[in-house]
Amino acid sequence: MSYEKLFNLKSNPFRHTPAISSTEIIWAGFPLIKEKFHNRIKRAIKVPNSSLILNWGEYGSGKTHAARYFGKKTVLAEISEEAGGKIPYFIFVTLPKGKSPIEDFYTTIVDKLDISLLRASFNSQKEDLINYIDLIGDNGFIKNVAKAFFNDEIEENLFRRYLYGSANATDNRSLSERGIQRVLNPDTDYSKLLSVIFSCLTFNGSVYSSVILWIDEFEDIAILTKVNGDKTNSFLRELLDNTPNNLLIFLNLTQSALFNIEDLGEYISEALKSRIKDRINFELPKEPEILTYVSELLKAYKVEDINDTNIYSPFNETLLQQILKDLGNVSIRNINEALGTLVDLAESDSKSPIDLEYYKTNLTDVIGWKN
Amino acid sequence: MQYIIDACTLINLLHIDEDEFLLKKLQKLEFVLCKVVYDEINKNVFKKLQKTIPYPIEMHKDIEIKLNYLRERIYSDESYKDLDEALSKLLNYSKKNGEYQSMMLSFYLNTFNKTRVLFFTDDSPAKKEFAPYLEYHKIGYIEDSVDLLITLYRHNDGFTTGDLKRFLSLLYHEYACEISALEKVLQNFEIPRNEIRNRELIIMLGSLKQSINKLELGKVASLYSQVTENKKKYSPLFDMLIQFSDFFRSEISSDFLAKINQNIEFADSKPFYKF
Repeated sequence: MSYEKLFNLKSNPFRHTPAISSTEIIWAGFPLIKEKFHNRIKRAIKVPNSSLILNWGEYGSGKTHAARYFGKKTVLAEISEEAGGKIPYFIFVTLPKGKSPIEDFYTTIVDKLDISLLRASFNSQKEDLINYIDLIGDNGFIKNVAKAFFNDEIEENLFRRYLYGSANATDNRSLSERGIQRVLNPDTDYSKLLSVIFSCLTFNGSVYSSVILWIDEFEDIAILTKVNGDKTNSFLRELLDNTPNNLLIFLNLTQSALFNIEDLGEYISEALKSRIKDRINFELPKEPEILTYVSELLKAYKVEDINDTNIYSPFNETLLQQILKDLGNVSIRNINEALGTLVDLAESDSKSPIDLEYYKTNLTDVIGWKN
Repeated sequence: MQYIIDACTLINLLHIDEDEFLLKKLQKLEFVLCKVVYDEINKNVFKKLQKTIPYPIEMHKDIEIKLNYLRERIYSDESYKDLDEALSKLLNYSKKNGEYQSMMLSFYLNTFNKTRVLFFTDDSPAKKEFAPYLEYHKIGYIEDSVDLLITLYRHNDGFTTGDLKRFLSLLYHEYACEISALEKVLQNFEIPRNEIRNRELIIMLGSLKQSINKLELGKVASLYSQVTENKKKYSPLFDMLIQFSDFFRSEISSDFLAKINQNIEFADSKPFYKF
């Protein structure tokens, strides 16, 4: 029998790790964490200073989900309205682990920059933007590349080839006329160019109020070689130094086999550490938090808004308390897995509501991995 | 002293090498390898890290050129294989893999050339299995890539402390990338809906997650063996883990990773003697 008929649910709310489709990405429970992110982004919209925030937690604690939720245009638009500014430009990347992390980092960010959209967005204030580029920084070559970035007379594909370092002789000839006579150097130019572009995006705050760069899996800095770890630190420090305003960087850090928060000092340079403005901890959730989370998630998945006194339907509070007691201190993903399995089992057995007895009969299937 | 080097150690060296720096230093060592070891290198050199950081195609040619240096070091006189029957009994070992062939060659060279043998391998089980025999019969001993890098550092003027730290760090990176990728894949693995009643699969996934999180690589390897022996029962896990088969084949231990890191520290805090 379908979830709808059996449980009055659109689908199994607990089986998404993490949700990818924008409509599926909702925030349930954990109001304090939500508020912290909300306030950080609001502050980035209102206050110009750039900042770096660490998000710390175990696997499955919700860091990637937070990035996806706060990267949603609707969420950002709501916060912007509240802050009285324009929407931030949001970029989500995963820390590159290859042999050339800076090149990979730069390429991933460039991949995510929608050049035609940005050119169109700034088209009406092109002259002001060019004047602004002339005011920031002291590197004439980088300024010319940044001007070309926003210049719709330069064909986008040609310019992308240049940014990726794969321009041909004809491309180079045409760019040379625009003051771009050499290729970009990964060690010296990549961070400077991105900084100028980020600054341009937030130029006079009329299109974007700020740039949010959200870096996932930053714990993998521990598995980079010493040289590449140092390069990554320098790259981020230069990005922040060269973009003093309107840049908000979030770093997602996960406690893993090869990385512990106590070791953070080994992998993040003093220069970068001194730029960290806040740390958002994704602690293992407590029972009241989980109960709120479950009830809010179930509510969001309800097909019909029936006036049900049991906010945990198809479960009940006693059952949930028992499950949480059996699970002990675990991440929200572990809780989702257990409840997701229980819902799936009940669906295949056409069992609704799901009670304590049914849970006990299927205990090993639901939390067998604990033993 | 006669040096014999195993496939995993040579593959590591080929991967972490930059501008043939290590290979040139290695050429100065009196080392040999068995034909089967060379074949294993040829077969597996590009497979390593395929899942995590695959080597760009343009680098394949460089590695193929480097393989030529190694081809010259294949021990061509195959008389050592005459020891097969006696040694398989003595070592109580039935596989005919590169490690075993290297053992035969070690016993042969020690017996007929009257030389001590230093066998380099990063294969932890092979090390555990064969080291006592090499010691007991006074053939020689076993070391790994870390020891080989320190040896090369000590015997080459142009090999600086910075180089040593860099290559050790690259070696750590090679293994750490795979461990990190494996951990992420396991942590993000969701039991397929049609398998929610497969209790053994659920329990196996839980055990794998716990073991990798504690960096108990030996236990992870043993669980992987159970999965491969029961492909049907653990089908979804098997399909995912098979991508890491080369990592599991290398049977790297947590101690080896700790040893790499410790020696990076030693390079500064307790420098290795250099004349």
